Amino acid sequence: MEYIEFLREAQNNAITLPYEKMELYKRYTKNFAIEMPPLEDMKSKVDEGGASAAFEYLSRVLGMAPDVILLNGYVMYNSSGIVNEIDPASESSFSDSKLYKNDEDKFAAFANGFSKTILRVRADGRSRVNILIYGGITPRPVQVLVNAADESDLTLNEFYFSEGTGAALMGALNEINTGSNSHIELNSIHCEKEGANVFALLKGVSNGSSSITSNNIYAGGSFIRQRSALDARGLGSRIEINDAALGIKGQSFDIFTNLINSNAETHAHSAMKAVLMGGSMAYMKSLAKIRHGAKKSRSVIMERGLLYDKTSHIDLIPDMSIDESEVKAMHSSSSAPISKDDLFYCSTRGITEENAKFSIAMGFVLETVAKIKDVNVKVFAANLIKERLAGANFNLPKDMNSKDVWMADTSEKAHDIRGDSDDDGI
Amino acid sequence: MILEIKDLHVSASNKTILDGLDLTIKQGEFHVLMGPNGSGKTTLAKAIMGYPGLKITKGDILVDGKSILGLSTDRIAKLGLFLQFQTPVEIDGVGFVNFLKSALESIKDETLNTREFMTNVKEYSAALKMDKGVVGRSLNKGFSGGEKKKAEILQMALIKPMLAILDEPDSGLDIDAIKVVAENINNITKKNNQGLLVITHYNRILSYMKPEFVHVISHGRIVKEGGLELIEHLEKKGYEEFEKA
Repeated sequence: MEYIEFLREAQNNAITLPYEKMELYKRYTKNFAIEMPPLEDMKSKVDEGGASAAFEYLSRVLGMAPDVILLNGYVMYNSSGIVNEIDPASESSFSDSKLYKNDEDKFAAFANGFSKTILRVRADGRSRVNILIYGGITPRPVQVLVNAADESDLTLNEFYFSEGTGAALMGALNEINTGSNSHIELNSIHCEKEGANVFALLKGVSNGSSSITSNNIYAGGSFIRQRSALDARGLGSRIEINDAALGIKGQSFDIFTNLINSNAETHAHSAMKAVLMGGSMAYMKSLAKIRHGAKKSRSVIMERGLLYDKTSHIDLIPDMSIDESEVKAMHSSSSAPISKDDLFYCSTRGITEENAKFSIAMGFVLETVAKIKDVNVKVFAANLIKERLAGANFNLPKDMNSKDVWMADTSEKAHDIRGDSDDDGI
Repeated sequence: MILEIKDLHVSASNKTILDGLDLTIKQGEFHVLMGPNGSGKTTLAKAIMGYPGLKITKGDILVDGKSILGLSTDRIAKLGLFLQFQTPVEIDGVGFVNFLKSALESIKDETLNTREFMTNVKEYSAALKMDKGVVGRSLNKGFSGGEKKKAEILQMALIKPMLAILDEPDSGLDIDAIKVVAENINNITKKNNQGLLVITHYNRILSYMKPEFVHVISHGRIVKEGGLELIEHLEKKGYEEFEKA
C-alpha cells in the first residue's frame, strides 16, 4: 500500500498547466519573438546607446527583462543586484569554482581556459535573476557560480542563444552550492540556432534541508550534450532535474543526469522526456545513487520518449546504485511511437491528424514546462516549443504504415480499404 | 441528417466482424443497439467514424445520401457525427479544456470567445456533477471510470453533433451517476434535436431514457428490431435465442 502511494505521488508530480491561468498570463504578456536578433544588431545597439539600449531592445523583443546579458563573453548589467563577475584567470576563481578541478572534467578545464568571465550569483533572501547568454559565430563558454545563503530563495533563469555552427561549441557551466533551508530553481532554456553545438555542465550540492530544482528545455541546436550531477548532501535535502528535449529535424541529444542521495531523509527526482522526429536522436541516461547511511531516502527516475517516425531513435537508460537498505527507489522508462488510438480519438473530435500530432507532442513536452514555477519563463518556454513545433513537418511519408508506426491513409482511394492494422477492433 | 448503413461488411486481421449490417438513423431519433459481447457493436461505431484499423470489404455508409467511406475521421466528425468512447484514451499534457476548445474550434471552423466557452464548460460540468478539478487536468488522465464517461458527455454537449453514437455510456458508473448521465443525455439531445444511437448490454440506463427504436445485433448483423418491449424481452430471456439464429 505504501509503495502504491509512493508511485502515485511520483506520478502526480507531473502536473499539467492550469488552462485558465495560462490564458490569463498570455493575455497580459507580449507576443515575443523566439528568434533572437543577430549579434551584429546587438552590437550596433550597444554602440549607439550603450548597454541600456541593448536591454531595452531585448526586453522588447523577448517580452521579459534580462538582468544580465552575456554578449559573447562580455557582461552587461541591467540591475547588478546579486550578480558580479570574477576574472577566470584570477586566483579567487580557483578557490570559488570547483568545476574544473576534477581531472575528469576536461570540458570544464577547456571552458575555464576560454571563458572571458565567470558570473557569480550570491543569493540572499528572495531573488530572481534572468541571464541572457548570447553566443556569436564563435561563442565563448559561460560559467555561472551560484552560492545561496541560508534561508534564501533564488530563481535563476538562463536563456541560451548561439549563432555558432559546425565546430563552434557553446559551453554552459553551472555550479550551485546552497546554504541550509534555501531553495534554488535553475531554469535553462536552450533556443540555440539550428546547427549550433552545445555542451552544458551542471554540478550542485544541496546542503542542510535545502533544495535544488533544475529544469532544462532543449528546443534548439543540432547537438546538445548535458552532464548534470546533483548531490543531496544535507539531512532532508531535495534535488530534482527535469529535462525535456524536442528534436524536430536531425538534432542529437546526449543527456546524462546523476543524482546522489548522500544523507538521510533526502529526496531525488529525475524526469526526462524527449519528442523526436525528422531523424533526431536522443541518448538519455539517469543514474541514481543512494549512498550508505542515506536512510529513509528516496529516489525516483522517470524517462519517457515519443517517436514520430522510423528515422528517429531513442535510448533511455535508467540506472540505480543503492548502498542502503532502508530506502525507497523507483525507476520507469518507456518509449513508443505516437499512438494511433490517441490520433483517432482526436480526429473524432474534428481535429485533423496534423493538429493532433502537434497537440500530442506539445502536451508531452509541456508536462516538463509545467514544473517551472516562474510564470514568465513557463510562458516563454511554452511559446518557444509551440513555435518550434509549428515549424515541424508532420506530413510524413506514407510508407510509414507498419507494425512500428502508424500513419493514416487519408487519400481518397481509401474508399475500399481503410487501414491495415493488426487490431481486431471489437 | 440521415445516417444510412447498407449491407456493411467489416473485417479486421482477416476476421469478419460485421456481416451485412443495415441500419438507418434520422436526426432527432433515439435508437438503441444491444447485443452480446463480440457481436460487433463497437466495431460498427468505429467503422462509422472511419477507424483506420478496420477494413470495409462491402457495403456503404451514407450521410444524407453521400458515402463517407472515403473521408478522414475529422471530416466525418465535421459532418455532425460524434462518438462517445467506451474507454477514452488518456493523453499526457494535453489539457482537457484546451483540447475541448481545439475540438470545438476545428468543428466550427472559428475562434471561440474564451470567456463564453468557459461559461458553457462550467454550466455543463455542473449539470453533470463533475468534480471542478477534472476540467483542469490532462485529457482523461487520472479520471475515474465515471469521470471519463461524464467528460465524454460534456464534450457531446459542447460540440452539439447532429447524431451521437454513445458506446456503453453506463459502464463504470454507479447508480446515482447513471441517472445523472442519462438525464443529461436526454436534456442535451432534446435541446439540440440530436439523433442518438446508444450501444449497451444492459437496460439500466434505458430505464431513465425513452428510446424509440431497439436493434439487436448478433454475429455482425441486425437480427431483431422493435421498441421498448424488446428491451423487456431481452432482460427476461437474454441473448441466447439470437446467438443461435
